[in-house]
Amino acid sequence: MSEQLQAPSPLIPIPRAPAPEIPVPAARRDVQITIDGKRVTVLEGATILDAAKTLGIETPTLCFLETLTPVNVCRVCVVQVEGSRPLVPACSRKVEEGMVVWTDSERVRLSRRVVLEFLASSVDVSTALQLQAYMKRYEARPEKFGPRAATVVQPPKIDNELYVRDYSKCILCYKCAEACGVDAQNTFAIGVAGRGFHAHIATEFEIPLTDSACVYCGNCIGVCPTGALMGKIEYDMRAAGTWDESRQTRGMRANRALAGRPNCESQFAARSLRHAGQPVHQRPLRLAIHTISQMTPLLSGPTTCGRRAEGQSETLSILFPPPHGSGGGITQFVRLFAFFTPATSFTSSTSTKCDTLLDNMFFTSSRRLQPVQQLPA
Amino acid sequence: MDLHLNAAKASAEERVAMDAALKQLESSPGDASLTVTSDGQADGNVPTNGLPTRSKRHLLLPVLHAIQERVGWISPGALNYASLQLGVPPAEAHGVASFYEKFSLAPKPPVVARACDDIACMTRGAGALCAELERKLGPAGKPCSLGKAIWQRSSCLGLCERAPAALITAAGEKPRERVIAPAYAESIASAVLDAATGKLPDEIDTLNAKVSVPQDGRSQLRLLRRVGQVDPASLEDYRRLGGYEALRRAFEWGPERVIREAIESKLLGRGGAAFPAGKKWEAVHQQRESNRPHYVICNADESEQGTFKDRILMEGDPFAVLEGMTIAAFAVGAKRGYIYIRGEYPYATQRLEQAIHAARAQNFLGEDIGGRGFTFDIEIRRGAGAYICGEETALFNSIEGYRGEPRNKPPFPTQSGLFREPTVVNNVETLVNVPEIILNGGAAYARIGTANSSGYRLFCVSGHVVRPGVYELPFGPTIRDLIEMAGGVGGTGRLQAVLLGGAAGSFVSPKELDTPLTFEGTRAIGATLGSGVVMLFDDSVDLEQILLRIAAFFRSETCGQCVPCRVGTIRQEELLQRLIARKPLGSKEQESALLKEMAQAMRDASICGLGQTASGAILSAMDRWSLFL
Repeated sequence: MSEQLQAPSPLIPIPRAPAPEIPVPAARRDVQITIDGKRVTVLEGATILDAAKTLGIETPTLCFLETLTPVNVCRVCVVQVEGSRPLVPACSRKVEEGMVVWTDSERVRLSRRVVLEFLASSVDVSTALQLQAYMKRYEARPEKFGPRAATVVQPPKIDNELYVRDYSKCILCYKCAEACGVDAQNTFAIGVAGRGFHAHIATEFEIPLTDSACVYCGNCIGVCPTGALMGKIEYDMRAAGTWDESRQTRGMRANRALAGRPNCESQFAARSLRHAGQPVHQRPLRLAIHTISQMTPLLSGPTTCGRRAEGQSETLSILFPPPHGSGGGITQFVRLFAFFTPATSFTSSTSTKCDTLLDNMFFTSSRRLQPVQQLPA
Repeated sequence: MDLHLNAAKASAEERVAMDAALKQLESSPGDASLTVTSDGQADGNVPTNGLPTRSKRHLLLPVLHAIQERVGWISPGALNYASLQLGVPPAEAHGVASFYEKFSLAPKPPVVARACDDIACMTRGAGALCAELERKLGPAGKPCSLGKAIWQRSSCLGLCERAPAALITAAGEKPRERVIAPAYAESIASAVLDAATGKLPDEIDTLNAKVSVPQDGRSQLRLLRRVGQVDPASLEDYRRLGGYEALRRAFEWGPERVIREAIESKLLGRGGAAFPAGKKWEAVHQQRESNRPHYVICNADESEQGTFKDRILMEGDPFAVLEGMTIAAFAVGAKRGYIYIRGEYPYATQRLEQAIHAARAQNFLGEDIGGRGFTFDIEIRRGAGAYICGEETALFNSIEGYRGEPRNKPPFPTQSGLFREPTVVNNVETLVNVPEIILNGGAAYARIGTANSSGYRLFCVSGHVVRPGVYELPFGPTIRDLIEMAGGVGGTGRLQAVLLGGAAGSFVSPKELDTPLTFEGTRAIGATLGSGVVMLFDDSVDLEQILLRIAAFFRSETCGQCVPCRVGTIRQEELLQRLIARKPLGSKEQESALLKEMAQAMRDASICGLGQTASGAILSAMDRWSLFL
């Protein structure tokens, strides 16, 4: 490590503490495995899901997302691995040299089908498009359990102006709890509660979201694969019959049409109010909220902002989950990092820069965006 | 992380209870100086920020116990206070508290009577007992005895040799727990009234070990030889009968030889999975240079329907469990151990607490044990009513203060166990075998029993049998031999079925009684020894109702994490209800095919053994008898 700390770019402030020495990771070996009779070589540490993808094998997943720690609870991705008695979850099982995997055997198909039947017989899957597609693919017949099969039906929870939580549609994939917790937001407003068939996602003692630790970041809405968590606008539009799913699939460009909707300002107003009584260090970044609220007309989906102090600088991270329905609800996040020094004032020109940058990002690339963009301070 | 608490405040009583519990936990030698993360991470980072508070998360379960025992339920204010003290987000603390049956998150009377209505107690009149209780105390789940008590039906309490059983807990400044077995409606009702009026005596009425261990020829016994013969509170008694000799020998041998002898003994785990114990030790021992802390866990969360052997060992010979753990810790290089005991075992817990205290006082636990430079201490963790926590990875999560949900394997516990460190998990009975192996040598131990099943085995004989209890046999005798030892078939005297291995095991018919009770013998008929359950049902028993109770057991005990088990167990119960009501969807054959399909998906796709075995016993019975005609 050199004595003179050098920032990688003059735009990024110099960190105060010496940067930790990051050990050079050992070179990853190649691992050869066989999937459905075809040899494939992948890097050590890859999952069976990764390896299958390189062969163009499409593996169904519900609880898996690239940006979240795999919890492997939905079990629709199970595959048969020779030498293993039960089937194994492709999304989390790491490849091992010489592994022989079958992704479409009779056993695999049966388990995937029954799991989908279990879900669809107990949960309202009417807005879970991806799950419906899987059901078609595996010829699932959830009605086989009869009309009296127990379900998780319950009234939707509408306790704030932004989000609706309709747990009749929840398949308990854990994604929202992960996104609220250590995998993204570190807010821990919701968690898994109860046990068995009655396990569910809840705030403590089921208190309303407005009393909970929720900062309305929207990560949970972005990751929900079934529409159990939904923006209120989408929910209301669906209820009114004015929701047009086909208009939602054209990516961010389409969302521009939603710009100027009245909720954008009220979202963040509600959020600032709720934290008004808290000490400053517990409040969300107020200026950032202001900034984002000016950017929000660009988006219909909820945005996230997080603040992390690093030395004298602060990192503002803004996370844009795509709105529910675009790409089946399982799509990449767009993450924008902005670096600000304490001197940075959030003037309108800063916002303009953000606007311009976002504009460029969304309109130059419709699919995979660069994960990190630097913002001039 | 911002810790956002809601407005609810803890009462003074709740705060006092939690503060006292925390103070005691933090001063306990077993928990003091516990650093959750290893000193040197692989990447050289030393995480410090916020760690002092966050490292207390593993105290969440005992703190929740403290509130429950003091107040009878966990209020929003109490949960807030616990969250603040331990640095756990309230939503997560709520998720943990709501996972366990023993914790109530709504106001509940301080006295709770749990009457077991599970399969062993069903053969001994649990149905009539519950009906009588309903007459005396009112409907289950409704306050009775001046509104200060409540009674409810319960899954197996592990008291099957003296069925029917009941457990009474009374919250308060001095919390009380009382086991009543055999239980009668009068005895339950009067104990409930005593508890509700604060008259339940403090002393513990030890269960008579002679009832639990009715076996003749006691001098031949090895694992049970001290049970009922010594004062379980006396370390001197234990040593007089050869106690701690094995530890001394282990110190002389050194860890490598101890492990070699354990492998040579071919000792297979007695908890149900039958994994070679020595191999586990070796796998952890091999990581001794890694600078990671190692742990030894005694799995005493015996909750399988019909299993009670571990309880009897812990109640009757607690030092043997400690000695076995200490030898295991010495072999693998662990400094800290946990005994995870099921919450329904108040006496066994008390016995172990006393034993740990006595062992510490005489330097059989603590620093520099026996002057050999070896440091090891043990902490007890009580479960709170969750069968799934007997699954080893669920057990880790439970100790760590998370929901008792099993983890996906691999990685296996020997690589990444408690606090993600190398961990050995052994069952109580497995550990009690360890001193035998050390004293007699691994090779001599391996010669006992059969070629593939070495050593001694405890069997939990219950149901319609003349002398129910725990029986010790060297591997080899058949089911018939064991039934004869236990005085023959009870009830009507005409045997209908035997359940081997508990709910996760399988039924066998009277035609199969000549099957040897060995790992290989039971495997040959598609059954399993499991946790050593041998439960007899005479021809008066309605097997269909037994199957329904087993299905209800799995439905109520599934953690709900993975889809096949969470939904499969309830669909299985619904299907059996339809068959019993003779109202199948389509034909009985269609239902049978559907059950088999569900069973296959649960067996293939569930994360852990619970879902994988949830249909085993039910299918085994439907294969052997024509039911639901």
